[in-house]
Amino acid sequence: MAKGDFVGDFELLVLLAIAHAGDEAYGLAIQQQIEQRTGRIVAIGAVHATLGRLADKGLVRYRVSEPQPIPGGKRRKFYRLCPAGVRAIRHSTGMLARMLNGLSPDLTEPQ
Amino acid sequence: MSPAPVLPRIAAALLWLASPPDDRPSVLADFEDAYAEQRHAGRGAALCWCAIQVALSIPPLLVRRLRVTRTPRTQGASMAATFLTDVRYAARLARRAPLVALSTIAAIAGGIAAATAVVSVMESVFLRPLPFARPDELVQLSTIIERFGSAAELNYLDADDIRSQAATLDGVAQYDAGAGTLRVHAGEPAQSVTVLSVDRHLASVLRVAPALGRSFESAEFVDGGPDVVMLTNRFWRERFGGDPAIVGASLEMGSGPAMIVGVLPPAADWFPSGGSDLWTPLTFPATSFLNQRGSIALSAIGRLHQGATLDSAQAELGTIARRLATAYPETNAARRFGVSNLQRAMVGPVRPMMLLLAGAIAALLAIACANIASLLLAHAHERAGEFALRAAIGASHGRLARQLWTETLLLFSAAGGLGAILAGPLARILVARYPGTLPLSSDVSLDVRVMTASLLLTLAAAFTAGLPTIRRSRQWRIGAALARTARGSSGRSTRRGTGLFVSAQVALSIVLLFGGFVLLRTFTSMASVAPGFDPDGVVTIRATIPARQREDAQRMVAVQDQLRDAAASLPGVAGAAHAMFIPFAPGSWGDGYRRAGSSDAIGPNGPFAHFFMVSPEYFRVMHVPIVRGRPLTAADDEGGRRVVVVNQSFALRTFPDRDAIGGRIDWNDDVWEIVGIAGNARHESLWDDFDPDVYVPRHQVPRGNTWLLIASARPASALVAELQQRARAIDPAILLSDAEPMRQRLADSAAPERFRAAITSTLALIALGLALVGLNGVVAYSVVTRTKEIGIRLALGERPAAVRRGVVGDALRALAGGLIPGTIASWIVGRWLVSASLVRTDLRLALAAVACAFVVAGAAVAAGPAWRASRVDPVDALRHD
Repeated sequence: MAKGDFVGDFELLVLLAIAHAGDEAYGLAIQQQIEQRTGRIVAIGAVHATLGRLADKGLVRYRVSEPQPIPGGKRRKFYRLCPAGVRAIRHSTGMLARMLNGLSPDLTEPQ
Repeated sequence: MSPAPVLPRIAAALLWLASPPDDRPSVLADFEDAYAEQRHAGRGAALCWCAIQVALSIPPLLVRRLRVTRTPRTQGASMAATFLTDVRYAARLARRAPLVALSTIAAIAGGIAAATAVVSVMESVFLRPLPFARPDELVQLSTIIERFGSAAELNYLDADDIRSQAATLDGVAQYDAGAGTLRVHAGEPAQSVTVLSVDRHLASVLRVAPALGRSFESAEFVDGGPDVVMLTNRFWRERFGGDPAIVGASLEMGSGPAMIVGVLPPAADWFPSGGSDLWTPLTFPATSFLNQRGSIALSAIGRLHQGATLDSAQAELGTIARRLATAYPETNAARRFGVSNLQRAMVGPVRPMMLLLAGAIAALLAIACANIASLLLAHAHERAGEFALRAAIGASHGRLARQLWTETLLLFSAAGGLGAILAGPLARILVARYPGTLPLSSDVSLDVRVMTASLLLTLAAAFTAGLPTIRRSRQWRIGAALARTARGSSGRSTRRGTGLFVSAQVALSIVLLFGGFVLLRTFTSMASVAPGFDPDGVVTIRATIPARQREDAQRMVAVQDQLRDAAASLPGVAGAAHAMFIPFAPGSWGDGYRRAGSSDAIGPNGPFAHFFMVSPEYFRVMHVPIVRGRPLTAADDEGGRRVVVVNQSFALRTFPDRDAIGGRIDWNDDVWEIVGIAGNARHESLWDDFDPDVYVPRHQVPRGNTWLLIASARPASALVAELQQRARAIDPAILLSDAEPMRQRLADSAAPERFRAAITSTLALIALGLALVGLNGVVAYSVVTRTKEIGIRLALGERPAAVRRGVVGDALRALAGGLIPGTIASWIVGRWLVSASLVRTDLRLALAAVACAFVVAGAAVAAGPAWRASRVDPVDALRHD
């Protein structure tokens, strides 16, 4: 297991949001995915900073889109999961699942 | 389609600065899209969202940016790395003392937001040129009469003469702003509007062309010509949603239906001060008082001929005035004309208020800075050991200074960013709440100049607050730090430094507190000023009688009487009266008169009084006492003897050596006999002296302008709705508006005093709080650092009471350092407030009260630390670090 496969809480949320967003995974879409699903306030800047960090670790890659062909069209970075990113999600969620395994919903060891 | 809402520029700039260069387009694109989405929930909510998002986004972006740019190791990158380390270190420190960091940021952000807001309003008001072609050529013309001073008005015929004779002026235009009523659709309640009656020259002097439709034509400037209006741009957008199809439509004005012929350009919203809703041609019959040399009732502006100066125009107006004085000695003998730059004339009245606001906020910001400076100094002093250690293992003084600067700047840039975002909404609130009119159109925008000012303000604040600590940090060498720990008393220079800050805060707070106190006293003392009538239980309503009813004077008076009787018969109404003008509402009839048969001068050199045309019930409804003689009665009608009731001031001035009752005066081409003397009353401001007033029976001088006064405790809105129902039976075209309790009119007349008092006393209380917190902090800190010394003194037998006295004495000494300069500065500020007639109260008493309050509060604040000092256990103290 490579060291890069360990990801923080927020990084994990971002990775999962990329998976949800599919082809439309850019900063704002990812931020909205997380806000809608978790109900917590997410700073757009934090998403971008995290995406940059994940790209450094080789967990995601991105392509820069051509500006949309309308006035004020914008140039964006669209992200995709790398195989290492998929592994990192599996690894983190797997660890969580194994830790939860055998606990009842109120987090006590069943008698 | 409306254009997409734009992300506030300041937010975009902050994000651009914080983002890694590579990510800038995507970050900004995301913010723009998300902001556009948030705008659906309203501007306020979107701004709030934006402030939170920017505040939360900048730290992660900044950290990321610094990490990205660090990767290639160059000189600049290593500086960035150092900076990053400093930032992280500072952030860690801030997390360790979050309350200190947060309250500092909040105080500075509030101060910078308030200062930026005031600067932006002042910039819009004072520095931005009026949005007309060649605004410097525009001048305001005024008439100066030696006895009465200057009024920004010209006589209509004088203006004609100036227009034709003055070579230095390219045009002279006259106008009159007044209240009007308007109904867009039949059946809906009438709306009160500001109507600007303009002569045929105004549009060309201002050089404004209609944005839509056409200007007024010459036939429309003739009395009895077609009734037409132009909408101002703001009113057109607010009332008609900017609908271009409105041109050609008809409105129901007080005088009858009027056609909308055009819409004015946005520039016209700036004129006159406060703007207007509608323009209408200025017309009046040839017999009107406006058409007589004696009257001075129309405002006037002009445009300087190219190359002419204010001085040359003033000189030429002097010549014209002398010529007119020779030609019309009866009216123009004592009359001169003045000319001044239009913008300067427009901003003149708001200058004292703006200076007051700016001064108060600058003082508050300075107090906050001094407070934070002493906080940082005390905080840094605690870290002296740490700095000494770092210096000892090789950190240069420059490196340590950079660390301190980074911390200070980080604190202030967070505060400054927050302040800049809050400044815009705050400026809009200030404009909305400003009592009276500000000479600007509705928009106050934060432009580059204002933002630069805000940035400089932030940097100056950071510098002021940070400098003392950084200067001091030079002295923290390992030896000194160890010695200090060994000695266990605070360094003398630190105490002197913090003492200075306390003194500065105290001085500024005294000034603010004093200002707030005298302005508050001025406002509250207005409540005890008797207006001369009873404003409680009187509701005022303006009635506009349609033009066709006004053609015949007797019919018009009959309509007015019918309206009054309809009002008096409403349930819960004890009585009603009607009058041409009422106290504390715009409009009055000031006029000259003379004792009948005397050789008194009439006109500018003769006696002068205010004339009130009232129905007989006026005195009963308003509770104006009849001191002697009789009130007016219903028998004093058009066929009756010409009689008047005068007030005591009139009686005393006109007939000083005989009984005024039975006295006769010449006025308005008639001889009038005085039948009664009424009590004095104020009618424009509670600060007025009692002017000579004359009450004239309405039937004997019929005029269309109508106010109803209704004695009732019921709400004005209910009365006006019921009365509108009954008025329909008299004439469906009668418009009722401006329904307001008389008490409310009085309160409105004190609105500027209330606004000044509220703002300054709020700021003063914050300042007092800051100063006392600062004092407390400094005293508590000095006690902590002197624990060992105090412990030893107690061990040697000093009495606890003496220790307490010592600590309180120290606090009072620091306070006294500020008390004297504060008192002197307060006195200067107080004299200015009096000279700008913002304050009418005893300054000496107020100053003494504030100084005493400060000493008591200071002693109380020092009591806590003093108590703790006297309870120091000598054994603990010697172990104290």
